Amino acid sequence: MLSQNPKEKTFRGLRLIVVVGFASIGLLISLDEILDLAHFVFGAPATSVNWAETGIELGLILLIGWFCVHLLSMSESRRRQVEGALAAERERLDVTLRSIGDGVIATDVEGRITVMNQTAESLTGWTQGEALGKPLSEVFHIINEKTRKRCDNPVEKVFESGGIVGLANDAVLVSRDGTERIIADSGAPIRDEKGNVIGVILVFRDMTERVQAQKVLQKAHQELAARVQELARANEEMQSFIYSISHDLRMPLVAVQGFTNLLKEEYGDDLKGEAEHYLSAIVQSTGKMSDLIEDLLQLSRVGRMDTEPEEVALESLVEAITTELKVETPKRKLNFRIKEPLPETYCNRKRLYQVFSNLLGNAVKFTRNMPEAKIEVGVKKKGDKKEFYVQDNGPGIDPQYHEEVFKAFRRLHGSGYEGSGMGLTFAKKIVESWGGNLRLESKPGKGATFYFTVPEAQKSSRAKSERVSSDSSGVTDQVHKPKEKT
Amino acid sequence: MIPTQTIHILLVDDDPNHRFLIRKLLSKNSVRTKVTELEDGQQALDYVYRRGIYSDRGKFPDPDFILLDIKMPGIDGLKVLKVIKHDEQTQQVPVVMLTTSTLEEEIIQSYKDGANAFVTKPTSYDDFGKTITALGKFWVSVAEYPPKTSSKKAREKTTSAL
Repeated sequence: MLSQNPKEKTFRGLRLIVVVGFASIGLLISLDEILDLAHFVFGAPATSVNWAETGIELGLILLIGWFCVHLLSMSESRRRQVEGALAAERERLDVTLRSIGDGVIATDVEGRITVMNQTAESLTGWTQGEALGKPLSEVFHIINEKTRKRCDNPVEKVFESGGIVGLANDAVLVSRDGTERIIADSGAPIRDEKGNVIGVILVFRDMTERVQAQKVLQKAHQELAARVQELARANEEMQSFIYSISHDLRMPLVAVQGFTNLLKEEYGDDLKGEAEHYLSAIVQSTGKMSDLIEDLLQLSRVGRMDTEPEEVALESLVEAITTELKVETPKRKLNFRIKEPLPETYCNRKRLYQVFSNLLGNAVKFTRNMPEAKIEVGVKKKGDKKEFYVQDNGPGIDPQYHEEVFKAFRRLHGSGYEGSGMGLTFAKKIVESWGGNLRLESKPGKGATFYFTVPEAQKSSRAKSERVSSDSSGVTDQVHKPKEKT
Repeated sequence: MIPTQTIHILLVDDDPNHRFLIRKLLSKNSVRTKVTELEDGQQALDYVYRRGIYSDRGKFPDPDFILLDIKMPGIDGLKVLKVIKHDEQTQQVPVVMLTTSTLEEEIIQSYKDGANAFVTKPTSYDDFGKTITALGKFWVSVAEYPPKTSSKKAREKTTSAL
């Protein structure tokens, strides 16, 4: 565009040939011969005319003249060809510039605009015709978004650096009609063949939407982070609250029950009428309250401080629970059945015990009106996972209450059924802490089946678990046995 | 075998009702006990290190074991435990932690800091009585103590650590 075109060089070469041709004529014809020719033409006296020589020279002159004219006509044709090629190239350049989505402005060394594309016209509000020859700062008016001060002239920055420069952050382009757009831009020097800077080219794009979207996203992130922090704080407060419940609320209960027992023991004989019954009711109620607090505490602690998973022989675990349930309800006819050999499972044993204990206890509880409770434990394949199930022949649950049964303290039946209403909530939370799911299939009169999944075995953590298990302290077992059943 | 000598128990609990009940339970079992009641962690450390009014060992003998409540105002049970069990001169004294909660963190921390046993105060009067009695028998008739020693230097060192 601003550099010398090869075709233009060719045109200049032809002109040089014409000049050389005329110079040759000068060399061929001596001054005397020109004078002789003049005397012959205008009839002036002449010494002598050598017609043969003069004829040859005249012929040569004509030949050279013809050759020069021919060369001139050739050079004119060539010039037209070159001009055509130049016009085509300029057109291609214009099309290219128009097709660029970014704004493009080129300046000369003085910072005056030489070219600008349509996007640049649109963003600045100036047409190329209006902008050509004008200083860049007049057309490309950029200010800092925050300070509102004018940004440095990009042309000067390019000249200073001598290379490609990114322009200021937070730059806002103010168009001719006052519209402000956040832009991202860069400038680069235009160099000739010798490497001299002969101008600057600026490329810039409208970033308003993207920047605004980023700001919205950033704000959303900040809000989310604040919310997460808030939740973490709330969780901490909840933990502290639960600690208070577990400790402070149980303190007076210990005293109430202890003193009630003392009263019974030391003054039982002096009590009259139903006084003894009243005391028993106090003991029973405080015990119930203590269990509720304990259940709540256990529920809050699922997934926290759990020990590493280990190999669990499920059959023996289930048998231990069913034996315990039979001992607890000697008058009931309980028919437990393990449908097929249960696979060994890699799991947190204590938590798995709690899940089965709650599900089997639930099945025993809700089959109390059946002449014989039929409770089945088994495993089914569901996709690539195993689903354990506990099935009973109880009254069943209407599907509209299936979600309700898993909610804390929600009891679908009256007070005739013992328990805090936390057992299924607790079991579900444990299974979900493994990434699994506990679900219910049941219809009124058709019994109920609870299905749940356990985590897949992981070899790497298995070795660790074995190590942890072997490190267990015997002292703990002697005195403190954590409650395994809720 | 039921020990014939009197067992001296240091009972540290800020709740007077609990202290009363524990003392009552201990008096009912077959082990003869002398119970010294203290209300908080500071008193417990003063007693163990014979500071202030507890400097007279004739009047305030070394305990055979300590029943230590975890949650107390000021210096709580876990801090007292840590001091006692990190001091060579006192670490041999059996310490049984008492609490009304079943927080696993507390249990784990208690054992990490050297507790000899951990007892959750149950609402069942009978169970609690049995547990306390069993502990008394165990620590007095089964466990063997090293000879009682005292070191003023060690006491000062431990006190300054608080």
